[in-house]
Amino acid sequence: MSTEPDVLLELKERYRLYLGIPRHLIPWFPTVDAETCVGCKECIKFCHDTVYAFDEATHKVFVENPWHCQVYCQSCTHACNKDAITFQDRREVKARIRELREKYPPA
Amino acid sequence: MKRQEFFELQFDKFGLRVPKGYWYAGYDTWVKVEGEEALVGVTDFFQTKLGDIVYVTPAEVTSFEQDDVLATLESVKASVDITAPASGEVVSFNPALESQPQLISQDPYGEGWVARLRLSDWEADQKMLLSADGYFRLMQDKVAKELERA
Repeated sequence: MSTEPDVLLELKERYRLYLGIPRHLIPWFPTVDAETCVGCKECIKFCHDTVYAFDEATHKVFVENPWHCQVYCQSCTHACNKDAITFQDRREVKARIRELREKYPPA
Repeated sequence: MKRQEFFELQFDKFGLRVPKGYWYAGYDTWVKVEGEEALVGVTDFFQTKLGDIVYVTPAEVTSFEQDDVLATLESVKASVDITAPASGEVVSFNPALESQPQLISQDPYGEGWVARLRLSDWEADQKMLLSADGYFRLMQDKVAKELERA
């Protein structure tokens, strides 16, 4: 069971905004292919937004905080020598954001 | 640039400027509209975070949609993609950046522009962008996060 501070932190993250849109509604975040990842941690070193974390049990990187990812940033893919990181199609995400912008107009 | 023409925030030893009259994407690129065309580039915050830029590789396309990858910048710290803040046909990439990529660091809103576009959907694109004061507030949040990490 979560403690109160954990709940508050979760809510804060959940309602992080991008252009006034709740960030968690925008499907932009990396996916790490566990089969391909060699656990070199270069993506963790590269990403200052704490998107990634290292699983000590499997010795692989996983996406711990998807909503910390900067929308449209995929520069971590350059840091991965194994091409283990992929992102959603930008055009589909863009279409989704434009839909959401109708619901969440600029302040 | 006259003082009243931009917002400025001190970050470490850097003065991060946000000129008025430009439009900004949340991912730290800008658009300066000039009639039916526009210059696009990266913000002071972005170039400061990236460090000295050593190479610019434009995307191999002749037109962009807003939010497409515009170019890849290689700095002494990292290789990063920059994203097009507006849609349009490429009129030119800044030829000066081939031999002087450091112009982006030295003058990100002027001589360091990345591409000139012929705008194709400005009315829709503009709705997804921030004015200078909106971006300045966002940049303040980003700087605060950077300072938390330091």
